[in-house]
Amino acid sequence: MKKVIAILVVVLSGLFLCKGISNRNTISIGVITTLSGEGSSLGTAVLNGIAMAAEEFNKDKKFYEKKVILTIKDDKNDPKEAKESAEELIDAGVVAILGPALSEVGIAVSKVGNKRERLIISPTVSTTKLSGKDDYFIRVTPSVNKNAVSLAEISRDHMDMKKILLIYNEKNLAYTELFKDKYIEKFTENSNSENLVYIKNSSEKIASYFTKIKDEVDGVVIIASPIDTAEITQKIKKIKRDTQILASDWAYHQDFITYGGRYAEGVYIALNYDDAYFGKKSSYDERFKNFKTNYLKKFKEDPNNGSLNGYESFNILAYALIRNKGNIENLKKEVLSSESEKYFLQPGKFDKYGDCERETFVFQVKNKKFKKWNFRKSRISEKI
Amino acid sequence: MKKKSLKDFLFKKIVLMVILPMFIISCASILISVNSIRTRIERKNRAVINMVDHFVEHNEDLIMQVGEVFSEKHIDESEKNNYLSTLVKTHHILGKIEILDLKGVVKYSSLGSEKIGYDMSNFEFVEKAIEKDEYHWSGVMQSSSDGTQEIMLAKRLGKNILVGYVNIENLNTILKESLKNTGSKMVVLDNSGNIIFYDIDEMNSERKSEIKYKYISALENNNSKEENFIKGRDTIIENYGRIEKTGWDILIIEDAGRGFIFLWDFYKEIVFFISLFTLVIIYISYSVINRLLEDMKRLKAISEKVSEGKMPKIKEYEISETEELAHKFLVMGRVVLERENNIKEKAVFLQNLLDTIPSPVFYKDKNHVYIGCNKAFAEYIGVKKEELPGKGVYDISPKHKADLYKEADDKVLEAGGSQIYQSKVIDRDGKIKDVKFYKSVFRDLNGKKNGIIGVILDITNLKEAIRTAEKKERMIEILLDTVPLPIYYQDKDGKYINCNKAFEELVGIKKDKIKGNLQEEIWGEKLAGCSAKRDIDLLKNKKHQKSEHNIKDKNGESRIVVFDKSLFYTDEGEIGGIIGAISDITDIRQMQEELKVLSIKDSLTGIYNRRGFEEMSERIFKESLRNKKTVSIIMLDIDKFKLYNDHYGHQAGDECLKKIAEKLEKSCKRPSDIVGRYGGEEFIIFLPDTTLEGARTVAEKIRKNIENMEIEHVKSRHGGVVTVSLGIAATVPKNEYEMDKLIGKADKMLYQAKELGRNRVEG
Repeated sequence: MKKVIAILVVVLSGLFLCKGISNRNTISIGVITTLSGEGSSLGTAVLNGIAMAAEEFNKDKKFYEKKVILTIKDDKNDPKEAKESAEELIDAGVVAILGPALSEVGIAVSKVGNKRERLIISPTVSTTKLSGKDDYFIRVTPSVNKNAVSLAEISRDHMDMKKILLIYNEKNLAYTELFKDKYIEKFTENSNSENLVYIKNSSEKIASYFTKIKDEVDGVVIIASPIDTAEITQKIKKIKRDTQILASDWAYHQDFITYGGRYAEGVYIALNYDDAYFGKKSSYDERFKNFKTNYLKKFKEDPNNGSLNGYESFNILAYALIRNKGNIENLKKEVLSSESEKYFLQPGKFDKYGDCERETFVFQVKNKKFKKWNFRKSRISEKI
Repeated sequence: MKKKSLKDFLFKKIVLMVILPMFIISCASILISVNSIRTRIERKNRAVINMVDHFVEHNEDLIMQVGEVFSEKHIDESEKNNYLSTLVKTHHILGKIEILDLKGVVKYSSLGSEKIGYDMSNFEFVEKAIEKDEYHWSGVMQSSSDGTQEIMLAKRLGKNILVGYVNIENLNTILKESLKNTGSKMVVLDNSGNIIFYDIDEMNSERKSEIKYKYISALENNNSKEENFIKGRDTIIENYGRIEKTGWDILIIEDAGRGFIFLWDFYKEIVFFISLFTLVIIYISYSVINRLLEDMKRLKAISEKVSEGKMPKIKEYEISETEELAHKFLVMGRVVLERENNIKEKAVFLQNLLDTIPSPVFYKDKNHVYIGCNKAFAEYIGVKKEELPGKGVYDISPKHKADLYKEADDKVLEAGGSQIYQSKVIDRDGKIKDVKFYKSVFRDLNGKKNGIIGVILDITNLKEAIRTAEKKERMIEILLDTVPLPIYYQDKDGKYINCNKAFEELVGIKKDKIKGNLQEEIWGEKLAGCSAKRDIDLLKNKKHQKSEHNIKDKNGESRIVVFDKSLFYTDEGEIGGIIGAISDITDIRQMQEELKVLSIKDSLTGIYNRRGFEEMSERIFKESLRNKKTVSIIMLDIDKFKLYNDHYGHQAGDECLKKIAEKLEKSCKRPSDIVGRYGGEEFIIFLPDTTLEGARTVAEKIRKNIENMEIEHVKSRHGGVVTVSLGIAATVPKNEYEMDKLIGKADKMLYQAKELGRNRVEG
């Protein structure tokens, strides 16, 4: 009985002690993402990835180990709102900020990070405006350039397109405009003006201009959010059913397929995410598989590049913080160290500025799913 | 009050009457409050479910009406979109209505022709509607590019798929209005965790996310409350119900601080802890009492050992306080045993003491029953000592005596003091004895009367002795009275014990009044004080003392007496006091005085003889020596006195000497002047404080006076009368031997006067 009492006393005091320790042992991380309005598809996917990573991170921790607590802010895809949110988070004492999702607000948040000297790790901001800077902004996604170039190469080299209609969203110009420019640059490169690009923004009514150019364009490139891209696709395909459509990586989301209906079939998207990244029997392989399974189980939808990058960015930050013993000083150096690379679920690498290099993949919608498209193989088969 | 054992007390009073009821009451009150809270929540929950059900049904009915209109009534194709548009306008809750074909493509839309041809086949709820003829609801969906959220329902009706859109904001406004003032904090979620409806004032996208992730996490972890990983309002959510038709979940939201109201787990923990605490308290109390009882057993063992008269050993104790107590017990035990031994020893001693007392001693209780006695008493009444206890006074004495004893005992018991009385008893040998009973009440420690202790003193011999002593005393008194000397005797303090008749007569006070009085009351303070001082000396030195005193007798006449005092001793050899005899020596002393005068005066002339002169003049001479004053001597001789004697005879000669002596005394008037007969017809005069001149004047005056007396002396050459020759000398004495020198010088001068013809003064 004495032993029982002793154990009880130890357990009870241990419980209270744990409670006390656990309260002190928290790492506060801020999250800024787009949760409402246009762009919330990507923002929500990013947040899902981060939340899932945070939950897993805390789950494995013993009571005496540091746990993470997230503070979430919705930037409403508004740079002003995002800036205020970043300031609020830093005032509240977060050690770093994960996010945002979209490039335009990404620029605003990075400014706050540089001013307040607090690390910002964005999962999906790909604007080149933030590339090559030794600042407090880090991202786990490559710049918009690579995807734009890939898309241009597919349309120009593999589909032999000469005339392209390019429709882009005006609300996330830091991404869409740079994507557009890079695409045009690559598409028209060395073409002796043979290759042409008609440029329209997504707010213009398609019906008003599309009929005029319908015989002239070989394909349409859409740089917009998933639902926007879906709606534009529907509208275009209602006019010309067989139009080849290529979309920016922003559109890579289940919403695109749902809202696009059968018109979404056959649309190409180039992005730095491989939905079928397994079968290679590498260390990345199993972890990505688990990630995908868990994500699907948890959120009842497939993950996308946003979710993966959100998941990865959280782990990179959290483990760097642990390695750095929770200190903010030299955190960037720790995040960019080679140690972080093992937290990429698909191959990735930071450069010295905190920009990321990743492989680009092309997907095509087939049977209501994104299917990885090996354009080289398909081209060969076509030729044969 | 009925006594209870500690265990009983612990079990009945503490466990049964305090801890258990407390536990039951706390558990019951927790259960009641939990139940009432749950009931309230469930009631609200039901209200929400009903409302949402009603809303769902209402929309389903509406859609159905639309479908029926489309299938039954003939409406012009061009008017169908307008019809839908009008319908939407009249029903605020519906944002838009669309009718799809079985491929999922929009045929008619309340928004007009723009939406026609829009492919919705990839929406899950549309797919299901195509497959199954039921109502199908979507989760939260984004409404195209403007970002507003909506939920949709679809129902197949014939070849049409009816699709209705419900704007979430509108839905919330309507439902919130209905649930106003219910105080509910409820959230309805689709099965992906997206919030459809909420009845919470503060709800933004961040909070929605927080609730969503908590909900998902709770679902995954079987509704257990996982630790929070998102900082928000620190809310606790509970899945409380489900809208069956749509698969939506209803959550109750509470701030963490108020989360307990529906967290049964929390109460379970409390109940668990309370019961655990109760058990611990019971166990602790029980073990403490057990230890206490163990220690008490050991304490009891100490007292038992001490009762047996043995000294217990020191043992280990469970509780320090009882160990201290045990040490005290041991000390007490030691003291008790020591005292018991002492008491036993004393009891034995007292019994021995009683037995050695030759007088019979007995003691009995207040009911006249004997408790014990000494050996003498047992022998006295002729029983064995051991047989006496328990017997009453009637058992050992004849009735008439027993009655008397009992009466006496009752009296002394009632009075509570002591009692002495004499009685006559017949002893074992049949002799009548004079006895004295001394009885006292003995009491217990509280002063309560416990019985009588009695001593019987045989005073037969004593009485005889007293009678003999009284006879002797009377004899002595008669003897003393026959002695003429006053005799007295006093105790050590100076009080008179007795005296004889002569003493009575001397002081003039009767014997009775003298006895017991102090000396000063009889003699007056002066003599008594002096006498008392001497008495103290006597008591100290223990030597016979003789002293002379002037006293006044009963007639007030002064008497000179001599006190002869000696100490007298008691039989034990101690000083009993002083015995004194008084001798009256007044007459003897007077005779002595007279004899003394005769020895220094001349019997013929009445002036100082030579011895008297020397005694008297020596004293005054010594005085003058001290004062350094001049003293003078006159020596005088009657001229031719032999011839006078021869002629007139010795008788006439004696007469002549008388006359001359008389004249000399008259001539020297100062009291200090001393006149003496120095021998035969020679006289001497000592004049203190007188110079030679003074002496010559006095001498001349004397010569003349004697001549002028004209005493016939026929043989004288100087007028036929008696004349005298005088020699004088004076000196300031320097030592005491000068007196003789001075007399010698005056004598020379007298011789010179005689030589020079007599009847003259020389010096």
